[in-house]
Amino acid sequence: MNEFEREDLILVRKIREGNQDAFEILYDRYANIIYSLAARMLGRETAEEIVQEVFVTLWCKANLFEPERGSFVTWLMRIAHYRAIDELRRRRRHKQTLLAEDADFPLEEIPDKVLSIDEQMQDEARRVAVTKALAAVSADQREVIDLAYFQGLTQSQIAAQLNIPLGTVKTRVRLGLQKLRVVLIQEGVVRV
Amino acid sequence: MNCREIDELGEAYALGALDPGEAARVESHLKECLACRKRIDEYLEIVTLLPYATQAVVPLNAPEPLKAKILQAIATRAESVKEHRRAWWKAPVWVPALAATSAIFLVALGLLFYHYQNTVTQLTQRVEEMEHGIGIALTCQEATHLPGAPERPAQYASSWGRICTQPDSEMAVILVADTPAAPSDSEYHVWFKTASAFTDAGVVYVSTGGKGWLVTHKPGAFDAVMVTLETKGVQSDRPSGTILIAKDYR
Repeated sequence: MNEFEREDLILVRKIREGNQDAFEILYDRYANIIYSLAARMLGRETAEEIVQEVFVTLWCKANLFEPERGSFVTWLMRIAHYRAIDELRRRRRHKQTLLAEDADFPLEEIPDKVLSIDEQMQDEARRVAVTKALAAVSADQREVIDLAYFQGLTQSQIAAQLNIPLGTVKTRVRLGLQKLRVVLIQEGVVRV
Repeated sequence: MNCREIDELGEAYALGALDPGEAARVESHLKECLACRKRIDEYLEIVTLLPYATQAVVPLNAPEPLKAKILQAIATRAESVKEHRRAWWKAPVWVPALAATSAIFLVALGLLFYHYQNTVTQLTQRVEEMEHGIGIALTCQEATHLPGAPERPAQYASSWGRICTQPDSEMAVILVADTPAAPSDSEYHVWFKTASAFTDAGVVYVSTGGKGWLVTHKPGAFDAVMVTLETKGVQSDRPSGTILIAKDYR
Protein backbone atom coordinates (compact mmCIF):
# COMPACT_ATOMS: atom_id res chain seq x y z
CA MET A 1 0.00 0.00 0.00
CA ASN A 2 1.52 3.33 -1.03
CA GLU A 3 1.25 6.65 0.77
CA PHE A 4 -1.80 7.79 -1.21
CA GLU A 5 -3.65 4.53 -0.61
CA ARG A 6 -2.99 4.83 3.12
CA GLU A 7 -4.26 8.39 3.06
CA ASP A 8 -7.35 7.37 1.10
CA LEU A 9 -8.09 4.73 3.70
CA ILE A 10 -7.88 7.24 6.54
CA LEU A 11 -10.09 9.66 4.63
CA VAL A 12 -12.71 6.97 3.97
CA ARG A 13 -12.77 6.15 7.69
CA LYS A 14 -13.38 9.83 8.41
CA ILE A 15 -16.17 9.94 5.85
CA ARG A 16 -17.83 7.04 7.66
CA GLU A 17 -17.87 9.30 10.72
CA GLY A 18 -19.50 12.08 8.70
CA ASN A 19 -16.41 14.19 8.07
CA GLN A 20 -17.17 16.43 5.10
CA ASP A 21 -13.61 17.80 4.83
CA ALA A 22 -12.35 14.27 4.19
CA PHE A 23 -15.03 13.88 1.54
CA GLU A 24 -13.92 17.08 -0.16
CA ILE A 25 -10.29 15.92 -0.29
CA LEU A 26 -11.30 12.67 -1.97
CA TYR A 27 -13.58 14.56 -4.32
CA ASP A 28 -10.72 16.81 -5.39
CA ARG A 29 -8.52 13.78 -5.82
CA TYR A 30 -10.82 11.63 -7.96
CA ALA A 31 -13.68 13.70 -9.42
CA ASN A 32 -11.72 14.62 -12.53
CA ILE A 33 -10.72 11.09 -13.46
CA ILE A 34 -14.27 9.85 -12.93
CA TYR A 35 -15.57 12.77 -14.98
CA SER A 36 -13.07 11.94 -17.75
CA LEU A 37 -14.15 8.31 -17.79
CA ALA A 38 -17.85 9.13 -17.86
CA ALA A 39 -17.42 11.91 -20.42
CA ARG A 40 -15.49 9.57 -22.67
CA MET A 41 -18.23 6.96 -22.41
CA LEU A 42 -21.36 9.09 -22.28
CA GLY A 43 -20.63 12.72 -23.03
CA ARG A 44 -20.20 15.61 -20.65
CA GLU A 45 -23.76 16.23 -19.60
CA THR A 46 -24.33 12.70 -18.35
CA ALA A 47 -20.81 12.65 -16.93
CA GLU A 48 -21.87 15.23 -14.35
CA GLU A 49 -24.74 13.00 -13.25
CA ILE A 50 -22.40 10.03 -12.96
CA VAL A 51 -19.91 12.00 -10.85
CA GLN A 52 -22.71 13.13 -8.58
CA GLU A 53 -24.11 9.62 -8.18
CA VAL A 54 -20.69 8.14 -7.48
CA PHE A 55 -19.80 10.67 -4.80
CA VAL A 56 -23.20 10.56 -3.13
CA THR A 57 -22.76 6.77 -3.04
CA LEU A 58 -19.35 7.31 -1.45
CA TRP A 59 -20.86 9.57 1.20
CA CYS A 60 -23.72 7.20 2.01
CA LYS A 61 -21.98 3.88 1.48
CA ALA A 62 -18.36 4.38 2.51
CA ASN A 63 -18.81 1.42 4.86
CA LEU A 64 -19.12 -0.90 1.84
CA PHE A 65 -15.50 -0.29 0.89
CA GLU A 66 -13.36 -3.31 1.87
CA PRO A 67 -9.65 -2.35 1.99
CA GLU A 68 -8.55 -5.97 1.92
CA ARG A 69 -10.10 -6.31 -1.55
CA GLY A 70 -8.05 -3.57 -3.17
CA SER A 71 -7.40 0.12 -3.19
CA PHE A 72 -10.03 2.78 -2.63
CA VAL A 73 -9.62 4.18 -6.14
CA THR A 74 -10.32 0.71 -7.59
CA TRP A 75 -13.54 0.54 -5.61
CA LEU A 76 -14.64 4.04 -6.54
CA MET A 77 -13.79 3.68 -10.23
CA ARG A 78 -15.61 0.38 -10.35
CA ILE A 79 -18.77 2.05 -9.10
CA ALA A 80 -18.32 4.76 -11.73
CA HIS A 81 -17.67 2.29 -14.53
CA TYR A 82 -20.56 0.09 -13.48
CA ARG A 83 -22.89 3.08 -13.50
CA ALA A 84 -21.59 4.35 -16.85
CA ILE A 85 -21.89 0.92 -18.47
CA ASP A 86 -25.41 0.65 -17.16
CA GLU A 87 -26.34 3.96 -18.75
CA LEU A 88 -24.55 3.10 -22.00
CA ARG A 89 -26.37 -0.20 -22.35
CA ARG A 90 -29.67 1.45 -21.53
CA ARG A 91 -29.08 3.99 -24.28
CA ARG A 92 -28.16 1.23 -26.66
CA ARG A 93 -31.38 -0.57 -25.88
CA HIS A 94 -33.28 2.64 -26.54
CA LYS A 95 -31.30 3.17 -29.72
CA GLN A 96 -30.20 6.60 -28.56
CA THR A 97 -26.89 8.22 -29.35
CA LEU A 98 -24.26 5.58 -28.78
CA LEU A 99 -21.09 7.50 -29.16
CA ALA A 100 -19.75 9.72 -26.47
CA GLU A 101 -18.87 13.27 -27.33
CA ASP A 102 -15.16 12.63 -27.15
CA ALA A 103 -14.56 14.46 -30.40
CA ASP A 104 -16.05 17.47 -28.71
CA PHE A 105 -13.52 17.67 -25.88
CA PRO A 106 -11.98 21.11 -26.04
CA LEU A 107 -8.24 21.18 -25.55
CA GLU A 108 -8.25 24.38 -23.55
CA GLU A 109 -9.49 22.68 -20.38
CA ILE A 110 -7.78 24.29 -17.44
CA PRO A 111 -5.62 21.85 -15.50
CA ASP A 112 -6.81 21.10 -12.00
CA LYS A 113 -5.43 23.63 -9.55
CA VAL A 114 -6.91 22.02 -6.46
CA LEU A 115 -4.63 19.01 -6.26
CA SER A 116 -1.38 19.24 -4.39
CA ILE A 117 1.91 18.82 -6.23
CA ASP A 118 2.23 15.29 -4.83
CA GLU A 119 -1.26 14.37 -5.98
CA GLN A 120 -0.62 15.83 -9.44
CA MET A 121 2.59 13.80 -9.64
CA GLN A 122 0.70 10.67 -8.64
CA ASP A 123 -1.87 11.31 -11.39
CA GLU A 124 0.87 12.03 -13.88
CA ALA A 125 2.69 8.82 -12.95
CA ARG A 126 -0.49 6.86 -13.58
CA ARG A 127 -1.12 8.62 -16.91
CA VAL A 128 2.43 7.92 -18.11
CA ALA A 129 2.35 4.30 -16.92
CA VAL A 130 -1.01 3.51 -18.53
CA THR A 131 -0.05 5.20 -21.78
CA LYS A 132 3.17 3.22 -21.82
CA ALA A 133 1.35 -0.01 -21.00
CA LEU A 134 -1.23 0.55 -23.73
CA ALA A 135 1.56 1.26 -26.20
CA ALA A 136 3.04 -2.13 -25.34
CA VAL A 137 -0.22 -3.88 -26.21
CA SER A 138 -0.93 -4.73 -29.85
CA ALA A 139 -3.38 -2.55 -31.78
CA ASP A 140 -5.83 -5.48 -32.06
CA GLN A 141 -5.75 -6.06 -28.33
CA ARG A 142 -6.08 -2.34 -27.60
CA GLU A 143 -9.14 -2.18 -29.84
CA VAL A 144 -11.03 -4.90 -27.95
CA ILE A 145 -10.07 -3.40 -24.59
CA ASP A 146 -11.38 -0.04 -25.76
CA LEU A 147 -14.63 -1.50 -27.08
CA ALA A 148 -15.20 -3.45 -23.88
CA TYR A 149 -14.24 -0.90 -21.26
CA PHE A 150 -15.13 2.45 -22.80
CA GLN A 151 -18.00 1.41 -25.05
CA GLY A 152 -19.53 -1.21 -22.81
CA LEU A 153 -19.64 -3.99 -25.41
CA THR A 154 -19.58 -7.62 -24.35
CA GLN A 155 -17.17 -10.04 -26.00
CA SER A 156 -19.98 -11.43 -28.17
CA GLN A 157 -20.94 -7.93 -29.31
CA ILE A 158 -17.31 -7.11 -30.08
CA ALA A 159 -17.00 -10.28 -32.16
CA ALA A 160 -20.12 -9.31 -34.11
CA GLN A 161 -19.00 -5.71 -34.56
CA LEU A 162 -15.50 -6.60 -35.75
CA ASN A 163 -16.74 -9.64 -37.64
CA ILE A 164 -14.17 -11.93 -36.03
CA PRO A 165 -14.62 -15.20 -34.09
CA LEU A 166 -15.59 -14.95 -30.43
CA GLY A 167 -12.55 -17.03 -29.52
CA THR A 168 -10.28 -14.43 -31.12
CA VAL A 169 -11.88 -11.68 -29.06
CA LYS A 170 -11.42 -13.70 -25.88
CA THR A 171 -7.77 -14.30 -26.67
CA ARG A 172 -7.14 -10.63 -27.42
CA VAL A 173 -8.84 -9.57 -24.18
CA ARG A 174 -6.81 -12.05 -22.12
CA LEU A 175 -3.45 -11.36 -23.69
CA GLY A 176 -4.07 -7.63 -23.75
CA LEU A 177 -4.87 -7.37 -20.06
CA GLN A 178 -2.05 -9.71 -19.11
CA LYS A 179 0.39 -7.51 -21.02
CA LEU A 180 -1.03 -4.39 -19.39
CA ARG A 181 -0.56 -6.01 -16.00
CA VAL A 182 3.08 -6.83 -16.64
CA VAL A 183 3.93 -3.30 -17.75
CA LEU A 184 1.95 -1.61 -14.97
CA ILE A 185 3.73 -3.77 -12.38
CA GLN A 186 7.07 -2.83 -13.95
CA GLU A 187 6.05 0.83 -13.76
CA GLY A 188 5.21 0.40 -10.09
CA VAL A 189 1.62 1.65 -10.26
CA VAL A 190 -0.08 -1.62 -9.33
CA ARG A 191 0.60 -4.03 -6.53
CA VAL A 192 2.19 -7.41 -7.27
CA MET B 1 -18.51 -22.60 -12.41
CA ASN B 2 -15.09 -23.73 -11.19
CA CYS B 3 -11.75 -21.97 -10.61
CA ARG B 4 -10.41 -22.98 -14.01
CA GLU B 5 -13.34 -21.38 -15.80
CA ILE B 6 -12.92 -18.25 -13.68
CA ASP B 7 -9.28 -18.19 -14.70
CA GLU B 8 -10.37 -18.04 -18.33
CA LEU B 9 -13.01 -15.37 -17.78
CA GLY B 10 -11.27 -13.17 -15.20
CA GLU B 11 -9.86 -10.55 -17.56
CA ALA B 12 -13.12 -10.18 -19.45
CA TYR B 13 -15.06 -9.95 -16.19
CA ALA B 14 -12.82 -7.15 -14.94
CA LEU B 15 -13.39 -5.26 -18.20
CA GLY B 16 -17.15 -5.71 -17.89
CA ALA B 17 -17.14 -7.64 -21.19
CA LEU B 18 -19.05 -10.75 -20.12
CA ASP B 19 -22.67 -11.35 -20.98
CA PRO B 20 -24.91 -10.73 -17.91
CA GLY B 21 -25.51 -14.43 -17.31
CA GLU B 22 -21.80 -15.25 -17.40
CA ALA B 23 -21.00 -12.29 -15.15
CA ALA B 24 -23.61 -13.47 -12.64
CA ARG B 25 -22.09 -16.95 -12.57
CA VAL B 26 -18.62 -15.48 -12.01
CA GLU B 27 -19.93 -13.33 -9.15
CA SER B 28 -21.62 -16.32 -7.61
CA HIS B 29 -18.29 -18.20 -7.62
CA LEU B 30 -16.38 -15.20 -6.27
CA LYS B 31 -18.60 -15.06 -3.21
CA GLU B 32 -17.24 -18.43 -2.17
CA CYS B 33 -13.69 -18.46 -3.51
CA LEU B 34 -11.16 -16.13 -1.94
CA ALA B 35 -8.34 -17.18 -4.28
CA CYS B 36 -10.32 -16.31 -7.42
CA ARG B 37 -11.51 -13.09 -5.84
CA LYS B 38 -7.93 -12.02 -5.24
CA ARG B 39 -7.01 -12.79 -8.84
CA ILE B 40 -9.98 -10.84 -10.19
CA ASP B 41 -9.21 -7.93 -7.85
CA GLU B 42 -5.76 -7.71 -9.42
CA TYR B 43 -7.31 -7.28 -12.86
CA LEU B 44 -9.85 -4.81 -11.53
CA GLU B 45 -6.99 -2.71 -10.23
CA ILE B 46 -5.45 -2.64 -13.72
CA VAL B 47 -8.70 -1.85 -15.44
CA THR B 48 -9.29 0.99 -13.00
CA LEU B 49 -6.24 2.75 -14.36
CA LEU B 50 -7.49 2.80 -17.97
CA PRO B 51 -9.29 6.16 -17.64
CA TYR B 52 -5.92 7.77 -16.90
CA ALA B 53 -5.04 7.05 -20.54
CA THR B 54 -8.01 9.20 -21.54
CA GLN B 55 -6.73 12.00 -19.33
CA ALA B 56 -3.33 11.67 -20.92
CA VAL B 57 -4.85 12.47 -24.32
CA VAL B 58 -7.25 15.22 -23.30
CA PRO B 59 -7.25 16.36 -19.65
CA LEU B 60 -10.82 16.91 -18.52
CA ASN B 61 -11.91 18.46 -15.27
CA ALA B 62 -15.27 18.14 -13.61
CA PRO B 63 -17.01 21.55 -13.76
CA GLU B 64 -16.47 23.63 -10.62
CA PRO B 65 -20.22 24.18 -9.91
CA LEU B 66 -20.65 20.41 -9.75
CA LYS B 67 -18.48 20.24 -6.64
CA ALA B 68 -20.61 22.84 -4.85
CA LYS B 69 -23.76 20.96 -5.87
CA ILE B 70 -22.46 17.64 -4.52
CA LEU B 71 -21.14 19.19 -1.29
CA GLN B 72 -24.55 20.78 -0.80
CA ALA B 73 -26.24 17.41 -1.39
CA ILE B 74 -24.14 15.61 1.20
CA ALA B 75 -24.44 18.51 3.68
CA THR B 76 -28.21 18.20 3.42
CA ARG B 77 -27.98 14.46 4.03
CA ALA B 78 -25.63 14.98 6.98
CA GLU B 79 -28.03 17.54 8.50
CA SER B 80 -30.92 15.16 8.06
CA VAL B 81 -29.01 12.45 9.97
CA LYS B 82 -28.22 14.95 12.76
CA GLU B 83 -31.91 15.84 12.98
CA HIS B 84 -32.76 12.19 13.54
CA ARG B 85 -30.08 11.97 16.22
CA ARG B 86 -31.32 15.13 17.93
CA ALA B 87 -34.87 13.77 17.94
CA TRP B 88 -33.59 10.60 19.56
CA TRP B 89 -31.54 12.31 22.27
CA LYS B 90 -34.27 14.73 23.18
CA ALA B 91 -36.25 11.98 24.84
CA PRO B 92 -33.92 11.23 27.78
CA VAL B 93 -33.67 14.97 28.59
CA TRP B 94 -37.38 15.04 29.28
CA VAL B 95 -37.40 11.90 31.42
CA PRO B 96 -36.43 13.34 34.84
CA ALA B 97 -38.52 16.46 34.51
CA LEU B 98 -41.64 14.65 33.54
CA ALA B 99 -41.04 11.90 36.10
CA ALA B 100 -40.77 14.49 38.86
CA THR B 101 -43.88 16.32 37.75
CA SER B 102 -46.28 13.46 37.47
CA ALA B 103 -46.50 9.71 37.30
CA ILE B 104 -48.98 10.12 34.50
CA PHE B 105 -46.44 12.12 32.58
CA LEU B 106 -43.95 9.37 33.30
CA VAL B 107 -46.25 6.84 31.75
CA ALA B 108 -46.77 9.20 28.85
CA LEU B 109 -43.02 9.61 28.54
CA GLY B 110 -42.62 5.88 28.62
CA LEU B 111 -44.98 5.65 25.72
CA LEU B 112 -43.14 8.47 24.00
CA PHE B 113 -39.82 6.71 24.60
CA TYR B 114 -41.28 3.50 23.26
CA HIS B 115 -42.46 5.39 20.21
CA TYR B 116 -39.00 6.90 19.65
CA GLN B 117 -37.38 3.55 20.16
CA ASN B 118 -39.71 2.02 17.63
CA THR B 119 -39.04 4.88 15.25
CA VAL B 120 -35.31 4.45 15.62
CA THR B 121 -35.62 0.70 15.23
CA GLN B 122 -37.69 1.21 12.12
CA LEU B 123 -35.23 3.76 10.81
CA THR B 124 -32.31 1.43 11.50
CA GLN B 125 -34.14 -1.39 9.80
CA ARG B 126 -34.92 0.87 6.87
CA VAL B 127 -31.28 1.96 6.59
CA GLU B 128 -30.19 -1.67 6.70
CA GLU B 129 -32.70 -2.46 3.97
CA MET B 130 -31.41 0.45 1.93
CA GLU B 131 -27.82 -0.63 2.42
CA HIS B 132 -28.78 -4.10 1.35
CA GLY B 133 -30.67 -2.65 -1.59
CA ILE B 134 -27.78 -0.51 -2.69
CA GLY B 135 -25.58 -3.56 -2.38
CA ILE B 136 -27.99 -5.30 -4.72
CA ALA B 137 -27.96 -2.35 -7.12
CA LEU B 138 -24.19 -2.42 -7.19
CA THR B 139 -23.87 -6.17 -7.58
CA CYS B 140 -27.16 -6.77 -9.29
CA GLN B 141 -27.41 -10.29 -10.66
CA GLU B 142 -30.83 -10.00 -12.23
CA ALA B 143 -31.66 -6.65 -13.78
CA THR B 144 -34.99 -6.59 -15.56
CA HIS B 145 -35.85 -3.66 -17.75
CA LEU B 146 -39.28 -2.15 -17.09
CA PRO B 147 -40.58 -0.37 -20.19
CA GLY B 148 -43.24 2.31 -20.26
CA ALA B 149 -46.84 1.09 -20.38
CA PRO B 150 -48.53 1.55 -23.77
CA GLU B 151 -51.39 3.78 -22.58
CA ARG B 152 -49.40 6.20 -20.45
CA PRO B 153 -49.84 9.99 -20.95
CA ALA B 154 -47.49 11.79 -23.32
CA GLN B 155 -45.37 13.38 -20.56
CA TYR B 156 -44.37 9.88 -19.50
CA ALA B 157 -43.44 8.78 -23.03
CA SER B 158 -39.76 8.27 -22.15
CA SER B 159 -40.31 6.85 -18.66
CA TRP B 160 -38.67 3.54 -17.90
CA GLY B 161 -37.46 1.59 -14.92
CA ARG B 162 -35.45 -1.35 -13.77
CA ILE B 163 -35.79 -3.94 -11.06
CA CYS B 164 -32.57 -5.27 -9.57
CA THR B 165 -32.63 -8.46 -7.53
CA GLN B 166 -30.40 -11.24 -6.38
CA PRO B 167 -31.62 -14.85 -6.36
CA ASP B 168 -30.85 -15.35 -2.66
CA SER B 169 -32.35 -12.08 -1.44
CA GLU B 170 -35.86 -11.06 -0.42
CA MET B 171 -35.08 -7.49 -1.34
CA ALA B 172 -35.44 -5.68 -4.64
CA VAL B 173 -34.34 -2.29 -5.84
CA ILE B 174 -36.68 -0.52 -8.24
CA LEU B 175 -35.17 2.32 -10.21
CA VAL B 176 -37.30 4.83 -12.10
CA ALA B 177 -35.80 7.16 -14.70
CA ASP B 178 -36.68 9.84 -17.22
CA THR B 179 -39.90 10.45 -15.35
CA PRO B 180 -41.25 13.86 -14.29
CA ALA B 181 -41.66 14.50 -10.55
CA ALA B 182 -45.16 13.52 -9.39
CA PRO B 183 -47.81 16.26 -9.21
CA SER B 184 -48.29 17.64 -5.67
CA ASP B 185 -51.50 15.66 -5.08
CA SER B 186 -50.08 12.36 -6.35
CA GLU B 187 -47.25 9.91 -5.81
CA TYR B 188 -45.65 7.02 -7.65
CA HIS B 189 -46.36 3.56 -6.26
CA VAL B 190 -44.61 0.29 -7.08
CA TRP B 191 -46.81 -2.80 -7.33
CA PHE B 192 -46.08 -6.47 -7.59
CA LYS B 193 -48.73 -8.67 -9.14
CA THR B 194 -48.88 -12.27 -7.99
CA ALA B 195 -51.31 -14.92 -9.20
CA SER B 196 -53.92 -13.92 -6.66
CA ALA B 197 -53.33 -10.31 -5.65
CA PHE B 198 -51.56 -7.02 -6.06
CA THR B 199 -49.06 -5.85 -3.44
CA ASP B 200 -48.31 -2.17 -2.95
CA ALA B 201 -44.52 -2.25 -2.42
CA GLY B 202 -44.17 1.41 -1.56
CA VAL B 203 -43.76 4.92 -2.86
CA VAL B 204 -40.97 6.05 -5.19
CA TYR B 205 -39.98 9.69 -4.83
CA VAL B 206 -38.75 10.97 -8.16
CA SER B 207 -36.39 13.93 -8.03
CA THR B 208 -36.52 16.93 -10.33
CA GLY B 209 -33.75 15.17 -12.27
CA GLY B 210 -36.33 12.54 -13.23
CA LYS B 211 -34.84 9.71 -11.19
CA GLY B 212 -36.00 7.82 -8.15
CA TRP B 213 -35.51 4.50 -6.45
CA LEU B 214 -37.13 2.27 -3.90
CA VAL B 215 -35.70 -0.54 -1.82
CA THR B 216 -38.42 -2.98 -0.95
CA HIS B 217 -39.31 -6.56 -0.11
CA LYS B 218 -40.33 -8.61 -3.12
CA PRO B 219 -42.83 -11.46 -3.11
CA GLY B 220 -41.34 -14.94 -3.52
CA ALA B 221 -42.74 -15.12 -7.02
CA PHE B 222 -44.52 -12.46 -9.01
CA ASP B 223 -46.01 -12.22 -12.48
CA ALA B 224 -45.57 -8.52 -13.05
CA VAL B 225 -44.18 -5.33 -11.61
CA MET B 226 -45.46 -1.85 -12.35
CA VAL B 227 -45.18 1.78 -11.35
CA THR B 228 -48.39 3.77 -11.16
CA LEU B 229 -49.40 7.34 -10.43
CA GLU B 230 -51.79 7.27 -7.48
CA THR B 231 -53.64 10.02 -5.65
CA LYS B 232 -52.03 10.75 -2.28
CA GLY B 233 -53.85 9.43 0.75
CA VAL B 234 -56.03 7.01 -1.22
CA GLN B 235 -55.37 3.45 -0.19
CA SER B 236 -56.29 0.60 -2.47
CA ASP B 237 -55.57 -3.11 -2.75
CA ARG B 238 -54.88 -2.78 -6.47
CA PRO B 239 -53.54 -0.05 -8.75
CA SER B 240 -56.25 2.51 -9.31
CA GLY B 241 -54.17 5.22 -11.00
CA THR B 242 -52.48 5.37 -14.36
CA ILE B 243 -49.96 2.62 -15.06
CA LEU B 244 -46.78 4.33 -16.29
CA ILE B 245 -44.08 1.67 -16.21
CA ALA B 246 -44.71 -2.03 -16.30
CA LYS B 247 -43.36 -5.41 -17.16
CA ASP B 248 -45.81 -8.15 -18.19
CA TYR B 249 -48.63 -6.54 -16.21
CA ARG B 250 -51.58 -7.79 -18.24
